[in-house]
Amino acid sequence: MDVAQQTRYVRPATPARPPRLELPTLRAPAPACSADPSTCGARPCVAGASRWPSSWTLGALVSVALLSLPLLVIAVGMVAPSSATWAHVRSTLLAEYTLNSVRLVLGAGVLALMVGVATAWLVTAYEFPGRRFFEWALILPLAVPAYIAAYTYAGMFDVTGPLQRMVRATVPSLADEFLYLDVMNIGMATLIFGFVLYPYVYLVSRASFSRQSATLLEAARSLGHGPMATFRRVALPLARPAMAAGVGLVAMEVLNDYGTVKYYGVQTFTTGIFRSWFGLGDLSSAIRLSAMLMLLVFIVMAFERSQRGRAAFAGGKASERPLLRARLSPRQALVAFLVCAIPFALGFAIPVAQLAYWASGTAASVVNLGFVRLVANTFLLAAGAAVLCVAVAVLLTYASRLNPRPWLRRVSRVTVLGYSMPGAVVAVGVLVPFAWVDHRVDGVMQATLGIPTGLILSGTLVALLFAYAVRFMAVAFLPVESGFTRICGNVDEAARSLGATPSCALRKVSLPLLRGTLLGAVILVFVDVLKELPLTLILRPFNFDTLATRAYQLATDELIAISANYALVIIIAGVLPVILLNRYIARARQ
Amino acid sequence: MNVLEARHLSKRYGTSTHIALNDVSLDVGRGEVLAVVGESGSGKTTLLRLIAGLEIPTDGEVLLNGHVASSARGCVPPERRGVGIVFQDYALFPHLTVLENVAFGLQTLRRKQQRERALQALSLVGLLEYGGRYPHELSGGQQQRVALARAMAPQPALLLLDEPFSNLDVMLKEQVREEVGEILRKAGTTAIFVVHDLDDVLSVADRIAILRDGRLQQIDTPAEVYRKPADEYVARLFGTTSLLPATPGEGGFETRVGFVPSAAARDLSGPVVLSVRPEDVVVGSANGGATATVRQVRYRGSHNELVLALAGTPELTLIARVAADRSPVTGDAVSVCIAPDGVRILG
Repeated sequence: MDVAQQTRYVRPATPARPPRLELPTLRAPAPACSADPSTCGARPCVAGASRWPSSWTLGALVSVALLSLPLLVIAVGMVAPSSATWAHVRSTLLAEYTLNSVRLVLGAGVLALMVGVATAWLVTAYEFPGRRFFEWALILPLAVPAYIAAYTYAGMFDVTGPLQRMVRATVPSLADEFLYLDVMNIGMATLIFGFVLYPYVYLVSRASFSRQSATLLEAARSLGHGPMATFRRVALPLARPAMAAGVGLVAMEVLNDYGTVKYYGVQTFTTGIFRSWFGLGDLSSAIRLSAMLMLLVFIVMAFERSQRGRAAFAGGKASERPLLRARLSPRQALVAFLVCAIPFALGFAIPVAQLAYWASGTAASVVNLGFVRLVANTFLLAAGAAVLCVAVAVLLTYASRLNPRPWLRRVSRVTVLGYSMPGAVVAVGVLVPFAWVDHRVDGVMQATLGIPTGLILSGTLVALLFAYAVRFMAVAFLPVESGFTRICGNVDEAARSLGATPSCALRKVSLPLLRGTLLGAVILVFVDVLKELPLTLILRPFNFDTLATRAYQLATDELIAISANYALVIIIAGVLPVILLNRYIARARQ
Repeated sequence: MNVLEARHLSKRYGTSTHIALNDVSLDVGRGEVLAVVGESGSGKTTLLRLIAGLEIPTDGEVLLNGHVASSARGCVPPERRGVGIVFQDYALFPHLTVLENVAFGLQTLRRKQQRERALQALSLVGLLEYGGRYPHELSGGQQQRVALARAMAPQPALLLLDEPFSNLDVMLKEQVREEVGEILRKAGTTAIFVVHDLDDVLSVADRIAILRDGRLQQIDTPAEVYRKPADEYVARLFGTTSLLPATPGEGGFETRVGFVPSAAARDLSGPVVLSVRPEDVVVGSANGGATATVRQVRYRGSHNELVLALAGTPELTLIARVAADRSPVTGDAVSVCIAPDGVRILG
């Protein structure tokens, strides 16, 4: 997602595709595909001549309509009459929600910015021991969901945790003071967000730095600027849009979070939504809070956009010589090493080591048939959601290729907005229309046949899958879309000119070419679903658990050592796309 | 004192066995414009980067104003060398306006003086009214001049220009070439051009250094390089040429196409190789010379180029230039001789 997003800044304009020739085919479809008409649909089509939108266009429009439903629900709910509890929420809690959310976003954003930019510059511009390792290892905290890091650190600082036990054993005089050390506050939550989410800034800044043409930096040197001045006056301003994009992603993740803030007792919009829905059963307040949270999200997005300005940040061509890494003196190298090692340790190594330690003590009793079944269920669900997302992404992209009108492309891109909606907001937005349909069906069935059907959609896996599709469509859509233009070029059009029908060209030409891209997209969505917590907590069927919800539930019940087993599975799965992402970037740079 | 002295400069990148630059020595005097000519891979960019302090030499030294600035042991960093560079892609800072770009190297001055000097540099290149624009809002030729103004603003002791004309289209190139030459002359700047096309610098350079495979082939004034090219490679840099073995005689050369009167034959003994330009090969002359067969006719617009195989020695070909309307056709037999003084001696 981040990689695809930041390409927006480096390439100011995507190269215009040549206009498609829409000529009626004068001859029967070529034998390439029409040998078996049943599989290829050999109906001679007269593209462009039909007044009706093709089934592809229709399919795309229906998908977009369904996927943007939750956002519409939230928007409409904003103007619907409010409930009595809303007045109470507004007068007593709203200010606190807003203040805490803003404080978390700002604190985590600044921390992630400093850590991400510093590490990105070090690994791009300097050579020091461990650089090659840190180059990819600094991304690893992305594999650790914030809520897991949150309760791991809470457990470590706990009275019975390893830190306090160590202090009591070594410096007993300090023990009393330490006993009252309370980390369960907004400051600690901010730190955790910063060190788990900085890779978003790191990734886009690193990409931006390494794409900056070395001649620009050499030009600054030849004009009398030392390395630091060059960084400050050229490299940093050039990377500003990328950095803003990274911080924007961090802010969205912070606003999306439920597990961390709930665990640390910080009241934010997400905890407010949960409280309204589960605690008070007041859906209309939940919708209003969701709408306000979306407003914050839009502010973040507007800030990010404002960081682009009139100056062009393209700066040179891709083929230019990359930056030559400067060697550091032993002392400087040590500093560089530490600057990279500390975030890696805090964001990944320490929490994972702690989890592994806990898991090693409990695995024997936890890992049984039930555990395996839970893992299998979660994986199946995540895989289903991933395949669904990628399939819809292919439908949307291919439909706008077949029908290359600007409006269709723009409409398809609306689905990307779902990624900016916090999970809890998506959940609320899905809950409302599904419940409405259930009530209608139930009413009709009772009236006509006298059979109450109850809830058909709400509280089922269908609702959950649909919500995942809404939330994670962007993760599949962006790579699939760029894959189509990058990898396929005009070959599917060549296939059409040779007489293949659209679906035949897709099946025989585009999809095989896109295999790698599709697999990558499936993996990205898969892992995102695996980690997802708030949306799943709200929409999961009764007595249904995923790895994330079970891990979180156990941690909330103070069974952290047991929870560690589930958390580790999530993290191990999460490392996979990190490696994938790194290989993708490395390949793009060659 | 020379502004630049390069002494036995060699550069080998990393662990590669290929020598990018091999024992090159040259110097540049104050106010002189030197052009380094070579094809890609000849080491000309390496030479420039060594002078700029962007690379450390494997061997040899770079002296700037008499002080060692680079040696195998280390380099004065680029920001403290007083060497300005105009990069091939201009390397204008896309986030700064034209004026900010030009003022970038004037950090040590007060703000007001910075502005003054930057405006001065801009007016020198004739872009005074473009200070508020961003680089991408300018044409290629204008960007080029901004890059020049930016490099010249701090008044560097030495200005390096890396392929300054290669990104311009043909129409613009000629004009910019003359303008740049004029600007440098007016400011009395000591400069080194690095180019692959000799045409780009003939009218600008005081001296030309020709690099090939990392070695310095020849360094001399343009006229002298043209008159007496060191070898076939250098001769060909000035355009199409044919090679002709000859023996010096009384007042000229004895060749396969007859006697060529030439003052250059004096004081020479033993066989030599001559370079003959197509315009000096006379086709269809009445008096003497040799007979040749037209093997190929190449249409060149205003004229045709003929590839002529000499009768008796078909491996020896001459390239001649004739007016298109009086051109023979392939297979024709023609008489051929060489215009008096129409030869250059190689070596």
